[in-house]
Amino acid sequence: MSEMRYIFSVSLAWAVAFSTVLFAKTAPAQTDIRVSPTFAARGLPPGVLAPLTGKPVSAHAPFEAGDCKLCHTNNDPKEPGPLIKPVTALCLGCHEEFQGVLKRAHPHPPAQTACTNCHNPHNANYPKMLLQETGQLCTGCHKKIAEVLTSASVPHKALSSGAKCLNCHNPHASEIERLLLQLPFDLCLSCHNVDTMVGANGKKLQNMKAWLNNNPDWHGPVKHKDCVACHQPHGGNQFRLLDGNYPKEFYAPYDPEAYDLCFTCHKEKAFSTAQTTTLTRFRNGEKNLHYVHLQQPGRGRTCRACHEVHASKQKHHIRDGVPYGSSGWVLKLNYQQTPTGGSCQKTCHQERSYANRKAP
Amino acid sequence: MPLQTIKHLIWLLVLLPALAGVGLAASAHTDIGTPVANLEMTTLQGSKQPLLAEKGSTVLFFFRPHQERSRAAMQELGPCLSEFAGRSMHLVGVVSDSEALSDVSTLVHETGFSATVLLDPGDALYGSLALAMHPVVAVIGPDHKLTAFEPYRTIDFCAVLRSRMHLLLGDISESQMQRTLSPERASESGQTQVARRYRAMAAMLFNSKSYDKALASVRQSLEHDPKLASAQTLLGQILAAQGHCAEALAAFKQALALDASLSPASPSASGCPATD
Repeated sequence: MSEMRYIFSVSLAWAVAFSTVLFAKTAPAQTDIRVSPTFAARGLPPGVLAPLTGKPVSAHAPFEAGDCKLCHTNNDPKEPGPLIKPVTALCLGCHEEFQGVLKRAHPHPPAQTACTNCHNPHNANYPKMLLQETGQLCTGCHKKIAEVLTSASVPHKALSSGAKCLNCHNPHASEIERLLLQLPFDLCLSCHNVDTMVGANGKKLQNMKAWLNNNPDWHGPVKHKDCVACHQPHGGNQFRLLDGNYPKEFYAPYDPEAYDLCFTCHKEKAFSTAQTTTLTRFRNGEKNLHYVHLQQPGRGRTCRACHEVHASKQKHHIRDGVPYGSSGWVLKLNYQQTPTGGSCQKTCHQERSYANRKAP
Repeated sequence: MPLQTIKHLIWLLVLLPALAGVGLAASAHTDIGTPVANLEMTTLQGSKQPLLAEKGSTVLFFFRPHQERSRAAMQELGPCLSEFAGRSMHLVGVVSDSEALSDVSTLVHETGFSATVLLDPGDALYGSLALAMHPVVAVIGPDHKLTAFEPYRTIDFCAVLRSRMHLLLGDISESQMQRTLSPERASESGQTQVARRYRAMAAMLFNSKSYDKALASVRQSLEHDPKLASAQTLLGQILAAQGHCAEALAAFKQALALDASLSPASPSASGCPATD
């Protein structure tokens, strides 16, 4: 683009912005966020282009070529006149793949309403002719996510690296809810598949893909691709981005609040009812063995003592063993499933078996 | 012994045969095919009603109050299953009779859950299906056997449940079900699409008789996707308009070679003499 055109475009943008301020004083406030959320978020009425403050890093080919008439009634850059069609129809004339994209089950309302909600049709200081940097642009409307991002003591690196929000979301439309590119499990494993990843606290994170490949008994949310049932994808205040309290310890006194992550799905009564024939299969007759293990004052075992939260080699997500003591010795659980129940032997205790049904 | 306790005992006796086959299933529900007894149960309003529908399948939705996932599922279920109205699919809510009825009523009211809610005595039905969490949908077929199980999931619960129902009704195939369970990545980028944009721009420039610019744009299109037949056709039209008839003819032939279904563009129609 010539220097003159650049100076002209910047001047024009500032002139439009200045007139916008005057206009905003007399016009009613923009209240329908679906009309123009990004402009509304910035206090600008719809259709106003963000003024460029530096040399653009991306430009629209027709603008770059000076072909104003492809979109406007005149080919004069000084007086291009109104658009020849409504803006979205105009964009879809060339960007024809978006005709199909926007018909997906879950379109993004700003994308449906006007492409210029997020894109500057001439040029921009950001790639893809975006009006702002991706994170800023999204959180301009998605205020709750902005709050999570600023308040989270445990951040998720996916939001601050690479394509940021677009690492997981399609800003135009998706067949998957929440504009996700893929189901949570597929998205998560696309990154959590290496041995070198570390968490916000600097500790090494499990290679989840490898772990799941080697452990065939998957926890329900994993099986159903619902990682977000337990993890907060945008950041949180619990370790490992957990969406609720979950004890880190091997022993912890029983407190329903300490387990509220598990009780998001599982029924608390199954662990606090001493006698039952319906709430759990881990029982000897009517004696609830979950209750026995958890409800010991001061020494209740936490879920992790016996269960792998993601996947295990044994049934019922029962782990092979648990690290015990400071030396890292692994205490084997030696669980055996039997036709009427199961047993554990040479573990925390001598062999104990249980029966919850008649032999078939 | 109170009448209610006797009823509970009878209930459990009926369910024992089903319980016998429960334990070996690793998943959080009993085996598909397990019979489910059609017992008379108490509704939230206090009347009596059989658990299972007289005809067709029964969609049992197990939930509990004070649980966000139950609330979210209940808000989704009505609209989600509305397309099955008149197709012998009967939605029934099931809640433990140990829950406070006022809490259940409040949740039902607030979520607009319009199906009948039955009270599960002592969690007997929940236990008989070996369930271990809420909320969950269990579909009982016309033969009174468990035919499907779908737990709530944060993303695409309705889409998966709908597909499951359509699969049971024979509307879709197993492979279509798998596409719902593992949808394709929602992308839209690609060289072909970039090529189409340049072709569209070239077409607009061609229509405004900016032939040089149209030529540059269509060549960019073909750089991104040399096999885009419509761009080859447009290239021919532009070249013909510029009087480059031999090159135009070559472009038209190339377009036909790429896509034989295209109507043969005549160079003469573009201002060039027709040749064999």
